Amino acid sequence: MDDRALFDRMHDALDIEPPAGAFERMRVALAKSPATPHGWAVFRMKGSKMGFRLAAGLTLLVLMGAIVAAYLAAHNATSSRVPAGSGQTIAAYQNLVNLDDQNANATWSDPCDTATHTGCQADATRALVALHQWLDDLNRSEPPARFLVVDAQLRQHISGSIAGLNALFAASQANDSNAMDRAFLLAAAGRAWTDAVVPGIVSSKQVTAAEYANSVRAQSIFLTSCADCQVLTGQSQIDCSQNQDFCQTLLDGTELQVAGLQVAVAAFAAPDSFSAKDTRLQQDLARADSALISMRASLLTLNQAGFDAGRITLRTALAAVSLDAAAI
Amino acid sequence: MGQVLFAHTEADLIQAAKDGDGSAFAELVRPHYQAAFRVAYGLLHDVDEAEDAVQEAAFKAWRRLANLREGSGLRPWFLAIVGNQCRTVSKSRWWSVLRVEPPDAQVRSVDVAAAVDLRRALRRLGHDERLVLVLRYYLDMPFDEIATTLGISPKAARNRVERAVRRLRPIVQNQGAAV
Repeated sequence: MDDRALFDRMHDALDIEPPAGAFERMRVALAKSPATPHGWAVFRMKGSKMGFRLAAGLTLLVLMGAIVAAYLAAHNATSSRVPAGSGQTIAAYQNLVNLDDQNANATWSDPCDTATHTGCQADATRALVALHQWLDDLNRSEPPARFLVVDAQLRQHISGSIAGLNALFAASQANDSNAMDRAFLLAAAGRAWTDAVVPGIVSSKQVTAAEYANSVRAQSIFLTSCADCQVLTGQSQIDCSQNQDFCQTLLDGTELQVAGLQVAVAAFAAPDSFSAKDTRLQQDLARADSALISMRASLLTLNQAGFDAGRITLRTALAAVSLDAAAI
Repeated sequence: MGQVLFAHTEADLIQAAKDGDGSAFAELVRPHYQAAFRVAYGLLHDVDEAEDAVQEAAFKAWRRLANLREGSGLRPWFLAIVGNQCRTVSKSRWWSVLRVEPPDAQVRSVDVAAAVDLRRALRRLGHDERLVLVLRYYLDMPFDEIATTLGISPKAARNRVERAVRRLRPIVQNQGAAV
């Protein structure tokens, strides 16, 4: 697919005009708002769908905050940790992850994306503070049973992003643009994973056996037909020292498919009838995901042996994932 | 309100908007409304959500109008705010990753199938990657303007577009193989 073909396909797929009256509706909404551009937009958006959603969301957030505060007060009075899979409610955990994710997003501004990036240190530091805060919050309380496996992966990805950002800053100090590229990709990979999976955690709900099975099957089709995954788990030698871009691209494509299935099982909680199979699938996905994280880290230090070892683990993990998904 | 009828230059409109005239701010973004809507639709794939996102972004932009540096273009600044608003909307719906097409997609023509596949492929990318692809291949922006919109260097903009294309290509090819 060359540039011209992509241009044509984008226009074929997306060409659309704004709905009739859309601009006028916006103009009227702006004109009706108080005569100062300061203050809460949510109140000026009265009458629009987004305004209603924001108001409802804000109310929900306040209620959730109160629940979390009450939970934490009770929690701190007895113990600093909660037994795994039992203490924290699903809603409290979802709220914690959601708030920390929002905080991490607000502080991420593609730090040190180029060697000439001014404010690189400040940007990286701001992002690091938010990620450490997230990790601390997760370490202070253990997740409900539904999220035990994905929580462990979330911690690994946050740690990966932290390692990437530290390496990024070190490389920028050394003015090593190649090392900066590799470090940036490691940091961004963790962020891409949280971008994909956190919404699944936050919106997670109990579903029927049919809904769960359909969701797993739909996502596993992408995984089994994933060309990058097949190359990465194949027997051919891949020399990353000669072709780093190729290795990064293979990781990109494979991570996308693994994360897609992780989102599916996080968002659609398995009913009891699928409990054992779901646990096995989640654990095998986690093995594949961990192998990918270690391969990313190996690329950071140009560690070919580490990359090759990751491929072997990934091969067995993805084979197991395929069997798990086929059994559902 | 109403001052906009007598304010013609961009500088006049900016001043009127800063003084609290919402209509003046609307007039400022009018030339960029279609581009903003297209960015939002390219990112969200939903007409109603795109319209809401642009409206919400307009309020945010109006509120931050003082941050617009003299001499900077309004368009890249506004489109960046639209892009950020769409990120917020996307994050509130996990199904942007999972959502499948409606049943009538089963009896689609080849062209429609290709369009559906591309939209689905775009949904599987991260927000940043989708944004650069929409800016480059849907709004036909040069790398310089993408760079200004995203607050990065033109070289970084080019790298990011190339990286996004590299991620999109295998997804589209896989879909082709699966069909």
